[in-house]
Amino acid sequence: MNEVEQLSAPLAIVVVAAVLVVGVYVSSVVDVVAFRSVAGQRLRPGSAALFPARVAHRLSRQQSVRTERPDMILRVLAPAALLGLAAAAVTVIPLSPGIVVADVGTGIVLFGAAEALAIVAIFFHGWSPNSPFALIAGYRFVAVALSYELLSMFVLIGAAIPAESLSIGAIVESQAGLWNVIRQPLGLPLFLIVSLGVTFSGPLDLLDSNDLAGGGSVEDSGMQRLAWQTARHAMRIAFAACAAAVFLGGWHGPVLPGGLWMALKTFAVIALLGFLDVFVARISAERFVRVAWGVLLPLAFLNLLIAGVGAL
Amino acid sequence: MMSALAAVLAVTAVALTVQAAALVRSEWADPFVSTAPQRVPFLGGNEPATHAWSRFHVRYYPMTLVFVAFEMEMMFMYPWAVVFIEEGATALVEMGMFLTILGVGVVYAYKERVFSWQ
Amino acid sequence: MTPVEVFVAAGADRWHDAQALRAHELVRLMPTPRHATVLLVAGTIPGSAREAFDRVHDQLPHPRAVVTWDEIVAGNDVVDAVASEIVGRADRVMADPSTSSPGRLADEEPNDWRGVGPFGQGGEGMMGGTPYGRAMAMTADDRDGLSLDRLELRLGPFLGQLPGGLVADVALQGEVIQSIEFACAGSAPFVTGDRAVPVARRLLWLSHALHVQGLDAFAVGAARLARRSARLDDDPGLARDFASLRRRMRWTGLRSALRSVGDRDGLDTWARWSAHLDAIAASLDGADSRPVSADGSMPITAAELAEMITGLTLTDAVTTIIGFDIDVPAMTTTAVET
Repeated sequence: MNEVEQLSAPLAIVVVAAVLVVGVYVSSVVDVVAFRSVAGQRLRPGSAALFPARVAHRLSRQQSVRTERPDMILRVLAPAALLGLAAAAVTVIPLSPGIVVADVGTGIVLFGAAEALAIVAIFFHGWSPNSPFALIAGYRFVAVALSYELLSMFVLIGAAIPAESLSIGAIVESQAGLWNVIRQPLGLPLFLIVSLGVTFSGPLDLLDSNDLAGGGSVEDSGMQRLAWQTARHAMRIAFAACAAAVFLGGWHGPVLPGGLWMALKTFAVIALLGFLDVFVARISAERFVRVAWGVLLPLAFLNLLIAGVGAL
Repeated sequence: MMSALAAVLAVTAVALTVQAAALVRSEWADPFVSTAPQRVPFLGGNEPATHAWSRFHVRYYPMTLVFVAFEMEMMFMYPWAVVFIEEGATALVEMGMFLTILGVGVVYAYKERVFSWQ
Repeated sequence: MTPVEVFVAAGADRWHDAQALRAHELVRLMPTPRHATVLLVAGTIPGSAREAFDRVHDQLPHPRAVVTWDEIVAGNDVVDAVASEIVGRADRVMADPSTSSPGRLADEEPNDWRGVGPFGQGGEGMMGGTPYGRAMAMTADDRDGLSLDRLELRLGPFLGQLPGGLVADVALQGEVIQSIEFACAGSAPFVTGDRAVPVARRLLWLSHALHVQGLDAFAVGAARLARRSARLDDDPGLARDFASLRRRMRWTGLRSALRSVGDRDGLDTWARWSAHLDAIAASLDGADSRPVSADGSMPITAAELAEMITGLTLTDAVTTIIGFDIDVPAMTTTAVET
């Protein structure tokens, strides 16, 4: 196994910050491009590239309205925690053959823990403004979240089987011969569904949805809204990077350096997630719970069986 | 040399603090003060009669119990995945039995309408 | 330029027209006033909804501006003129936030609570009084012998997800609706499907319904088709473009999202949507505009709709209501001075 030298704390912070800042910006641009192309509107590259900066500038000058009796600690903590958890999730993902911010031996456990705590952070976001629509949105999101949480753990464990290790670096190395997307074909689709759920986009947009007047974000304005959107995009980066590392072979690839391959694969997953966000209609929480426990969970079991048989 | 977990904690703490600080600063330095009518939660124009915080009837509570059962099973699967190749087919069969038992639980829950709540 | 975020507060007579703004590139209709910079006032707002309107206005964050549809002198395209006015006003108020529209309602808390009660927060006993200015929700019997809190909400006339002017008194326990009652300004029941409406109006219904289902990008396409059909009588490309929109909609999973939601006499929300889409396609193909066939969107009264929705989750209730092209009764004519 590659012995990766542990980065010092300041360097670790810089690397993760760079990944998240660039990633969040790119992800926002992808969102705009996806929306405008599906809507048939004109797509000017310059305008799309500057879009996140302009939106951030405008939101920073807008008032952050406070509701009557919010839970201010949670109101501040929810977006902050979501961003912190996304950063934690990024640290265990190998960005190139030589760079892993934290080569923890139990990478997927830490990733799963970040995902589980994200559920709590997202619920707090719905709870904190003390507003009926936000509260309902938060509660129904938790139902969806618990359902996809199991799927994510099963597919990551399936990927860990051939690697004989829980570290994502080892999982990447185990794909030197064949990518997991081919030898465990059910893994990537299920993980993409999980990614859509964690970033509450597309069919699983049960948190900030239009049918509840903006759902958990109904009372968000100004800086509050900017912080929440940033955290959401950061989560998307973390999950896209994980999908690229665990299923698409990570930094493996001919000719180009490993880091560049990783970036390209992550970008491809981000583009796919952004497109699905715009293109797929939202399904109701109850229906997704039934589908997740009735159909997707057996598929996850099947994926585990395929992984197990394939590894023997 | 720093341990890996300390690096994770440092990164998480910095990200959290930066975001929290930005939010706190925006609340303090906001030139606009929220007036009382502005603070009313949005319901399409009317005021809500009560606070939203309440003893909310979480209709999917039985589903969360099934979820906890699977979580405990997940805890066993993590080390199982690491030693799987060493142990060979017996590992596959054992975990298969475990999952089958839990699967029966899910089927029962389905029949008992745990996953629908209308 | 980033699109200006607008919240629409419309009376029933102009609400559909306001949806046409979705087509404009520089305007984005938002589901909540907190996300908006500009408040668009359209149509006549009755005296009974005046306070609600003032409250929605106040709920917009500063810097904010108000644009009134009826005051805009338009050439041949009202929607374009409104959109330009919106963009202009938004630019001006963002450049100079001190010109932000001031609050309309008095800055008074709903109930006195400071210093009231044994803990100084307005509460009384376990659950009584008005802590922090508002009462706490009380319990009521639920099924299975449980007794849990009941949230009573009046979903107001200016919601983004329901047709403008619709007021519903909802009692929720958890997410499930225990009782719902629609309030109408007039006393006439809702009637849908029994009339012939122009195809532009149906396309605007589609645009709003797609927005509620999370398909904002498709809503833009539908709104654009609506504007084209309102402008020209004979646009041969329209039927073709609508067919292409409908084809793309098939891939969005709408059918599985809407199937068996809001079942009534064997017709679910997807059946109603299909009936609407078929009617649009038929009108664009040259048939006279006719009522949606009785299979899809039958006449329904407010009481019947309320009965259908009771027992559904709020999510499914909204989806069901949107599936009907509801004709909110014409409101009384008292207009609000803006």
